[in-house]
Amino acid sequence: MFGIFGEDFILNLGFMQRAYFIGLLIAIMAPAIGVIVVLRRQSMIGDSLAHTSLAGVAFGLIAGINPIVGATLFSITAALGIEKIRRAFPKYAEVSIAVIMSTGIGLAGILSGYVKSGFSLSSYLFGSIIAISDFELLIIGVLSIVVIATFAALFKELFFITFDEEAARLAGVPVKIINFIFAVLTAVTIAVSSRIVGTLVISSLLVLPPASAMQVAKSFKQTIVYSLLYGIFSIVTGLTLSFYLDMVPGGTIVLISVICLVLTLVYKNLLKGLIVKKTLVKAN
Amino acid sequence: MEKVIEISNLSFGYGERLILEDMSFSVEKGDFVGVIGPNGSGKSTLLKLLLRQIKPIKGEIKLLGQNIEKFNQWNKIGYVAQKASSFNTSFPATVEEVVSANLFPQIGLFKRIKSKHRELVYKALETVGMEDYKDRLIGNLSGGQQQRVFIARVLVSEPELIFLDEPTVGIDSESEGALYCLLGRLNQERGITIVMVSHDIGAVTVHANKIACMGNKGLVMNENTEEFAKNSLREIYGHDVNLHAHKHCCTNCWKKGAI
Repeated sequence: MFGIFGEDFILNLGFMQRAYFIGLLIAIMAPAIGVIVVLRRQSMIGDSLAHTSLAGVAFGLIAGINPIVGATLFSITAALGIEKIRRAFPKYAEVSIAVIMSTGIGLAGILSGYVKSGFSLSSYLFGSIIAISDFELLIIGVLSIVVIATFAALFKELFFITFDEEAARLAGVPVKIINFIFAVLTAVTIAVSSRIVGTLVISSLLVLPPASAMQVAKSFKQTIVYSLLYGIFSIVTGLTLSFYLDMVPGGTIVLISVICLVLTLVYKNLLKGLIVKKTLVKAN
Repeated sequence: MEKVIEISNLSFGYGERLILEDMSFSVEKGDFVGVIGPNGSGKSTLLKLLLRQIKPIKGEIKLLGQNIEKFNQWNKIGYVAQKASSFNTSFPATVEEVVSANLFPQIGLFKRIKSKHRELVYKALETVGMEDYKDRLIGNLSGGQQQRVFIARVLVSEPELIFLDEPTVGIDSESEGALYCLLGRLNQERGITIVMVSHDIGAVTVHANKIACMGNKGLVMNENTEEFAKNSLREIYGHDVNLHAHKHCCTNCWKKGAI
């Protein structure tokens, strides 16, 4: 077994330190962006950007540039595409998401045929905690911090636009610019998360923590805070378990998030039952 | 008298079909204008034009003396939408969070809400009698209470002109009376100009000092007199109109004298 202070302790392992560091950044970034995405009823946006990111990963592997850079470029292009198409189909946000999703899958399918064997495209499907290079650590670290800082700066305005876009515009919030920035933030979040969480599961990390948070939160601020807590718990536990049990990190993280949601729902129902009981006792 | 809205030779249409044709009118500071007219007469279109959601084919709109194309004082304009169409009732936001949103442009990017802003929010909620609900989720309130919160959101930035689009849709008649009464007080005691689109001709004739009747691609602005109510409404709606005023109005106003 692993000794607590021994060299082989999980926190003393260089590659796990890197995985935890990036994991924590993703745990803050993805649920925060996710709250807005869920409240805008665009839960599927993550999937469509993730598939495009996978095409970007394949492109990176073929062209010889870092796959995360490829994923980021493809993902941003896709997010801007979604915004553009969304304006052509007002009130049908899902049309634009479906168009970009099919384009992404199509491209990923074609490009993956050209990836030389030996490159592991599959590690980008479910994520991997092994061998995160210095360059990747730097690029993911910098991009994540930029996303988190921008989100914190625009937090109030994003709330207003999401709640009531027209009122926000009338009140003088620069709606178009902020929507544009938010699309880029979402794209970057998906692309950089694909390294350790994987493109197939990252979108659930956008949706699950906010979904759990919305069950218990009593305000918008609380929704964000609880989402972050759910996100951090799922990622840290998921990474640890995937190390000890040798499971893919992405799958483990998502299953833990799902368990969190189920437990939250059970807790909420129990609480509701108790309140009803109390009221009935009082009434009698 | 200072003109708050000036519209001259305004035309608008979708495709070939004109909805408004060569319309001209003005609204003066302190007016309470009720905009009435049958369905399809262009009431909502006019409101959209006034909020710059759509652009006219021809003509000019001036708000607070400034051409709407270059208008930059949106913080002085308040807009209360038809509740049902504009928001998701399961949105996790408190009443306080919703009302303070209108202060965000004043507070600025990167900055947090301070106690002076919270005070403004509290005062606005007090005006509509909703201060005890500030920590409640907006979706858990009744339709009438939600509408009061949305009016508080508009009031928090101290507007000079408020547009309302059928504000009483889906609200029970008691809350409706109180809502009109509040609007009347905001108009008379604070001098806020009010333009309200409504199907409720009875209420409009009680509270508004001017009535804008829409129909036949145009608009006729009338002083609100008994004479007008008797004669003109029949012409516009094409049949006899009996007016039922809201008798309970102002007997159950929220927080009388709180303004």
